[in-house]
Amino acid sequence: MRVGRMDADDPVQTLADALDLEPSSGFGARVRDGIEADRAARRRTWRYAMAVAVPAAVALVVVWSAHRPIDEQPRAMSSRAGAVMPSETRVAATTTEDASASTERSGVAVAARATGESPRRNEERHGKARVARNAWRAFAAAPVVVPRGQLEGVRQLASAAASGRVRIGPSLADWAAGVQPEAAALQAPDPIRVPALDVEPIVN
Amino acid sequence: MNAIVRPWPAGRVVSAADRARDLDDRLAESSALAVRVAFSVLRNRADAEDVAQEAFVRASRRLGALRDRDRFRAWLVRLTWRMAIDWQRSGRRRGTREDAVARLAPQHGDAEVDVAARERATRLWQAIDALPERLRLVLVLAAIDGHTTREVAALAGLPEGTVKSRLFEARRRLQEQLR
Repeated sequence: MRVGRMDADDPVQTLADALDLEPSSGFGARVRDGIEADRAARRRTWRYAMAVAVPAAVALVVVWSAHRPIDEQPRAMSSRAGAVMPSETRVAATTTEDASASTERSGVAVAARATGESPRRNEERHGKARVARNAWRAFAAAPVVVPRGQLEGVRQLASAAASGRVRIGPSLADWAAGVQPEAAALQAPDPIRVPALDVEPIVN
Repeated sequence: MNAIVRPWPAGRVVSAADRARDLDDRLAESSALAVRVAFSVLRNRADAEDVAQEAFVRASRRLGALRDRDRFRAWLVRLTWRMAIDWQRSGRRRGTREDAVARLAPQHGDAEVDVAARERATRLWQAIDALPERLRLVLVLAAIDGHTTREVAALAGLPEGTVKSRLFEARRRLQEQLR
């Protein structure tokens, strides 16, 4: 360090003299120890995350998925604009259990459209059991638009009703009995409107 | 300044020995710089070394990303500067700032000369403290190791013209205050 450069003309040089210092001899070793300790701490944090935080987060997601409102659960709806008859309905006629579960699920979506009230809001007001009944009623009352490709499904639904697996209301029964699916498919605009889908599962 | 080292090739497995060697290289070439930068703020060697050590620990987390040594030094300088200022503001500074005065005004045995030298040293540091931060960093970096304006610009992450004008302004203010 140069001494006696305290003149005001060269403050940078004076400052350079003051800053001309080297780290103490143990500095490098302390830095290495510090870095090693830091790495060990980060490894501990990572292990903790793997052992506790991640499983907890996964569990949280699973619980949330199981309890999220019904309107946020995946629905298999027809992709066509205006078509509110879910694709499950085509399957619904195959067994009584399928008809019950899938039509009820689908009914919630129809209820939302028919009443303008979201199923979540409906659920908040009435509770889960009630909303299912409301949904079913709304589904039964709402006009249903059937895409051309699903006419056969409706006909099968009528067939299932005839065999006693599901019960359908008179309007649908009349419609299903009178319709000629092939002719309808050729002549009717797509989609065609069914007056009401009055379907009720028969629980054995 | 320093050779540019290419980043670790993608997919290459870097051994612990490679990392240790790399860290040793960085320590050898940058530890004095970090300590001096911290000292310029804290004026106490022990505090400066603590801050520089902490800055190295943080910088070590990014060794892989900052394989370019010039970029690493620049990043380390700015990190150390910021940490030293935070350290100072947080009140963790344990020593007095007498270290810096003592470095500029060592004892000669003549009491009158020693007192005058200490007074001038104190005034100089006060003048440096009075500088705005943007001027102070440039001044300190220019004073350390006789860095050129281009080197200061690289370390401070500033255009060279800005460094020149700030350095000029810092010198002018210091000379005014020390006159």
